[in-house]
Amino acid sequence: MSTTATHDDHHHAPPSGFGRWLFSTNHKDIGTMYLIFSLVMLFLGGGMAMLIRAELYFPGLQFLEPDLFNNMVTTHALIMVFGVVMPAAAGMANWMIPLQIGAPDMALPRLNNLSFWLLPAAATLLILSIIVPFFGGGAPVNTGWTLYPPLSVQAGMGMDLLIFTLHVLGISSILAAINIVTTILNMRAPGLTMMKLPLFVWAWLFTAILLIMIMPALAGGVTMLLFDRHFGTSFFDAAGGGDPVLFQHLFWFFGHPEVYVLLLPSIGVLGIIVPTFARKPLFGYKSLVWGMGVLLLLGMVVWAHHQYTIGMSVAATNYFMIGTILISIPVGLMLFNFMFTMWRGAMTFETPMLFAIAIIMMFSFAGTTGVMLAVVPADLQYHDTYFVVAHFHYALIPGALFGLYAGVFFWLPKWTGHMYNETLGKIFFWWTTIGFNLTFFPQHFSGLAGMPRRIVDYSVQFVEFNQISSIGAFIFGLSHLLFVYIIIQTVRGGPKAGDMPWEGAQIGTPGLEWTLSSPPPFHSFETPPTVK
Amino acid sequence: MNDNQQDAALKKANRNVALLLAGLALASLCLAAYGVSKTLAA
Ligand code: HEM
Ligand SMILES: [Cu+2]
Repeated sequence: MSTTATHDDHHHAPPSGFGRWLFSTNHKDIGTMYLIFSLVMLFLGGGMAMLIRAELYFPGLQFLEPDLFNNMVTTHALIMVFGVVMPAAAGMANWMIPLQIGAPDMALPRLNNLSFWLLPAAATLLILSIIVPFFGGGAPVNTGWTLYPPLSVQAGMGMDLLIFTLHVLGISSILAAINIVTTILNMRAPGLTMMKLPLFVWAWLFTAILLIMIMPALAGGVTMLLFDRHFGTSFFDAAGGGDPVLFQHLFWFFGHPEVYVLLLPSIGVLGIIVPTFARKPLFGYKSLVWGMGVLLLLGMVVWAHHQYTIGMSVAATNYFMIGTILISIPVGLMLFNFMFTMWRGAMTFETPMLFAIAIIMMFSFAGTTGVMLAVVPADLQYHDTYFVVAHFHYALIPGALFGLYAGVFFWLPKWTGHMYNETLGKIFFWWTTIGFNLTFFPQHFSGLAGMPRRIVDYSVQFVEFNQISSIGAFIFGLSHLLFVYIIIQTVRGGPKAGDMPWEGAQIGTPGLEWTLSSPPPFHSFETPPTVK
Repeated sequence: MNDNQQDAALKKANRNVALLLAGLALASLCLAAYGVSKTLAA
């Protein structure tokens, strides 16, 4: 690694105009673009969720055609997974990994630019896939985000656009993941050994490796769908010697590890926030690193727990059941590590810490329903009901989204140089947490009572649960206007944040971001810092 | 910072790791293809 910084083409101010963003190779600018993109998509995907919940306020049909309803369910999920959580986590990685490891930038800055700019292209394709049915493009895609054939082979042109969307997203994620792993392995400041890395960096290392291993299976699977649709193959068509269940295996070989892709960056954020506000080093740092490694490996080999109902052999079913239940060990380990970190700590409860504590509680709930779902005879009842919907929203909203919100509140002072308004932050926390629980808690009950997912209509016995859910959803959705307001307010001004705005930030295995000014200069760490 | 501000050794190291990881992606694609061929042959 270069230790001298004697570049003659050295410039300190960012370039001006639109070119600064279009041609950016600066990790901070690209990180900002990822985060803004994600926020915009959050409102698009969230808007769809509001439509879904409005339609489900009453049984019977209100204002969405059944196919369009299912299209909303499909694209809501794809947008949230690929357009919101992954870009937000990637934005945070771009901003924080170089700052935490003392690198001047990402290892492959131009590739970084490409990874980001593929996203707006993918978003355009995705939006087109929603629109084309209105202009003679055949039936809307009504499969759900899992895109199972034969339904996906029969869908209209929107399906082709979605397939291309996933291709573009896949390329973007693989390139970003390659960049992140290379950065972590090659660009660390001298003296910063792997076991001194902040947990966020470790979490992203595992996430990125996982992404590289799973995206090709998804890309291959949807490409085979494309061929079945247009080029006369019958990979997934039993009449032609194919097998529709094959697609499910390809999808979930990607899909199950994908949930860890969504989860791990937020676990990394918690691994920084909890010690900071408990003013104690992270309990069991090494066990957390190993635990994430085990999670990665186990996560790769349990995918068919999403397909218990297809009639696998008893041996295969048992294997997937036992493997899945084993996963609760590393997941539990993480939660206990965080709790032991807080044990007898000198805790304070700023917004990031409030989120962290709530995440640990709500995510435990998802772990519990997860183990219930892992048990085959039980899952034969729960599968494809709202119980599953409740399970994964409890996993993903606290486990992924709230972790990222906590990260935004934690690092916003570093990014902008201003403190956010703590009172508003706390109001947002309570508002959004109450809204979330109101929305998804009742879905456990309607699910257990047998309400199927992905259907526009429901039996009258479920009315109360659905109305509570819908009211909760509107409360949850509205809280995000406050979120945006807080962010804009902080970007534009507010009390000055010091270089290290959080008292406990230096405890344990801190990142090097606190050695820089807030906001950090456009080019940071051009002379690598040395870590003792 | 721009790519060409990295010194030659770092640049080479970065390229090698990136290529290795691209190989991992390809290997994963091959594994999926192998699984597909196994399933459809059965
Ligand atoms: C203790 C850990 C967990 C276990 C044992 C577990 C188990 C399961 C099982 C068996 C299913 C399939 C249910 C069915 O369709 O009938 C499922 C669905 C799901 N889980 Fe989990 N889970 C765990 C943690 C997580 C985490 C951490 C996440 C994400 C952060 C997650 C996200 C999901 C999603 C998105 C689905 C539904 C996918 C779909 O059908 O659309 N789970 N889980
Ligand atoms: Cu799974």
